[in-house]
Amino acid sequence: MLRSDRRVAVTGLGLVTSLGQSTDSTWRNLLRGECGIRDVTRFDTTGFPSGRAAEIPLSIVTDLNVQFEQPLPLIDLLAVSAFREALADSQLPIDPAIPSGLVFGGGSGAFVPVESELIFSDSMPSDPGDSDRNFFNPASPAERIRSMHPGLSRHLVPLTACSSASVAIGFAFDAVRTGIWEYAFAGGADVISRLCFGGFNTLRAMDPDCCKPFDQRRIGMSLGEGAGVLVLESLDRAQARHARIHAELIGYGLTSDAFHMTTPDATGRTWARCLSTALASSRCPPESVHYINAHGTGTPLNDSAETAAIRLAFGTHADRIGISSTKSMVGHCQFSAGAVEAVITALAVRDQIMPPTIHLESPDPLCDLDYVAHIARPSRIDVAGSSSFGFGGSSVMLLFGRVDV
Amino acid sequence: MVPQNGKIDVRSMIDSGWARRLDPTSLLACAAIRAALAEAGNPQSRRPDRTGIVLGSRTAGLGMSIDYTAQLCELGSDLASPMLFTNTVLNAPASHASILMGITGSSFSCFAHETASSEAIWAAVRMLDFGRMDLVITGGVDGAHPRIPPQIAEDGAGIVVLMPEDICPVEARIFGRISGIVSEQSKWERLPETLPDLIGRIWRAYAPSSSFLGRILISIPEIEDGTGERISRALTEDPILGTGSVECRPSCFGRGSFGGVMDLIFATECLGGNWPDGARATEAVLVDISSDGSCNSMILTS
Repeated sequence: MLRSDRRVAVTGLGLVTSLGQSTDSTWRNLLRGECGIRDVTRFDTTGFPSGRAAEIPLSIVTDLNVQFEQPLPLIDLLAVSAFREALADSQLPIDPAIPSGLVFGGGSGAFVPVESELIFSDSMPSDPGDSDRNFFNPASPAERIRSMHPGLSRHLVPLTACSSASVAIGFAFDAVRTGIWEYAFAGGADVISRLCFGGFNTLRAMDPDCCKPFDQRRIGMSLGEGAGVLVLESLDRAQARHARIHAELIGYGLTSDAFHMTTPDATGRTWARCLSTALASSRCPPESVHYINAHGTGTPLNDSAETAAIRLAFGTHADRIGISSTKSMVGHCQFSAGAVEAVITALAVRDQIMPPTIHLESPDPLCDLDYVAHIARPSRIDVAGSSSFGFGGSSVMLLFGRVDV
Repeated sequence: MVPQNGKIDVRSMIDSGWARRLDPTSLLACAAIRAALAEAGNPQSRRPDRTGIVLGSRTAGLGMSIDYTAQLCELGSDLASPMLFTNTVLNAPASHASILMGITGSSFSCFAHETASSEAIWAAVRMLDFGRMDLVITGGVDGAHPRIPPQIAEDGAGIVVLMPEDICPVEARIFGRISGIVSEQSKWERLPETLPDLIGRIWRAYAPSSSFLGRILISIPEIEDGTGERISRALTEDPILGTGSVECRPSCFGRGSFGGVMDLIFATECLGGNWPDGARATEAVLVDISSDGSCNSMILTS
C-alpha cells in the first residue's frame, strides 16, 4: 500500500537562465525587471521574421564550462550546472542505498548535436553501436547527471513539449509523496535550436522584438533557454536534518486538453480544468492562492485564454491574485520552462515577493487581471501556482505553499 | 499491436479527415490505441478525465524534425510546413490520440533507448498507484525514416490497456495481471549479478513461498561482449528463477524500442497453456534490457 500522506518539501534549487548562471543571480535580475531577450548570436537568423531570443550569454557558458575538463554540449552543461547548484543548496548526501530518482524533462535541444549530420550530410548517419546512444538522445542531460552522480537509483525522461519539466516535477512529487523514493531531483533543460526557432517563426508565433505578455500589442513569444532543478524530499526528513526549506510542493494537476495540437481553447475551459484539478487534488482552497506564475507566452490566443481560465477556476478571487509572466524576461525556455518557472515560483513563496511582468504598457481588455506590471511586489503569498501548457495539450499547474502556513 | 507486415490497413482504422493531419508514427499509435480500446470495450468513454495515456518512444517526432529542418533550410520559415513542425514533438502520438478520442486525463510520453515501451508501462503503473488515473493506455511506438539507422527505429506500435483490478468492471475481459513491476538502471556489465536478485525480489513479494515455474522472456540488445549469455545463464542457475525456462529475444530489428510491450502482448496470449512449444506456464517474467543497463522487469500472471 503506497503512503499518500507525506508532505513534500523543496530543499534545493538550481537555475541557469539568460539572466544569470545561478539561482541568486537570476532571481536578483528578475526582481529588477531585467530583460534577457537579445539578438541571437548562435546562428544566422537572416530571413527569419524574428531574430531575437533570450540566449544564455557566451560569458556564462564559458564560466560554467570551467568546472569540466572538456566543454560539454550546451544542454548537458546547463542541466549539470543547475543540478549541482540544487544539490549543493540542499546539502543532501546522495546515498545509493536509499531509493531516489531523477526526473528530467527531455529537451528539443537534443536535436542540435545531430542536426548537421542528419540534414547536411550526403551519407547515412554513422553506424550505430557506440554512437547510437548519441544519435538523438533527449535523455542526454539526465544520463550525464547520473554518470556524475551514480548514487541516484534511476532517471525518467518525460516529454510533453513545453510542459515536460512540469510533468517531471509532478511525477517526482508523487514518487516522494507515496514513499517510492525518499528524495528526488526534478527539472529540465533546453537550448535554442534552429529547429524550434524556425518552427515558431513558421507558426508566426514570434515577436520580432520582445514578447509582451497580456499587452494588447502582443503578437508572439520570445524563445529562451535554460535549466531548472528542484530537490524534493519529505517534509519530515527535511526538518529532521535541519535542511533549509524553500517551500512546500503541495500538489499539482496534469490534464490533457484534447482540443488541438497548438491552438488553445479560447474559452479557457480546458485550462481551467487543469487549474481546478490542481486545487482539488491538493485540497487547496482557491482563496489561499495569492500568486500565479503564468504560462504567459505573449501570443494573442494564449494570454486571453489563460486569463479566462484563471477566472473560471478561481471565480471572484481571481481579481485578488497577482499574476506574472516571467517569460517577459527570460523568454519561453521551451521544454525547460516548467522547471525554470517552478524554481521562480518557489522563490516567490520563500521571499514573499512577486516578480513583475515587463513590457506591459497597454493592457489588453481581454486580459483584465492583476499582472504585476513593471515592478516586483512584496506581498503575502500563502500558495503560489506555476502553469505550463504544452504543444499537444498536456497542461500542468504546480502548487507551492509557504511552509509555516 | 500493429505489425509492420502490411496486412492491416492502418488508414482504414482512422477517419481520413483525421488521418491526413497525423504524421506516420502518430497514425500507427492512434490505430493501435483505437484497436486496444475497442477490444477492452471502450472503457475510456465512462471517465475520460480519469483516463491517461503514457507512451514510450525512442524516435517519435524525429523523422518530422529531420523533414522540417530540411524544409526550413531549403524554403525558409515562411514556406516550411507548420504541420511538419507541430509533429516534431515526441509526444505527438499520445497527444493526437487524446484529441482523437477525447481522453482528458493525465498523459505524457517518455523517452528511453531500447526499453521505451517497458519504461512507459512502469511509469503508467506508478501513475495508477499514485491515484492520478483509473485507466491508462500505455505501450510504445516508434517511427522509421530513411535517415534514421534501422537498428534504432522500426515502424510499429504496441498498446495495452491497464486498470486496477479492484475497479475493473465485472464484464471486462482480463488478458493478464501485472503482479509486480520493478525498474532499475544499473551498469550493463553488472546486470548478470544484479538482475536475478532484482527479479527474485519481486517474485518473492508476489509468491513468497513458491518456486517460479513459468517462462522468462528477455528482450536484450545484441551486443557481442558475452553479457547477454551471462544474463541468461545467471537466470537459469538462480535457485528461485532457474526452475522456469529462459528465452532471449534481440531487442533490435523488428522490435524497435517497443520490444517490451510486444513481449507483454505475446505473453498474455500464451498464458494459460498456449505457448508455442506447448508449455503450460501460467506465469511469466518479462525483462526488457537496454545497453545502458536500464532494465524493466514485470511479473505477468494469468
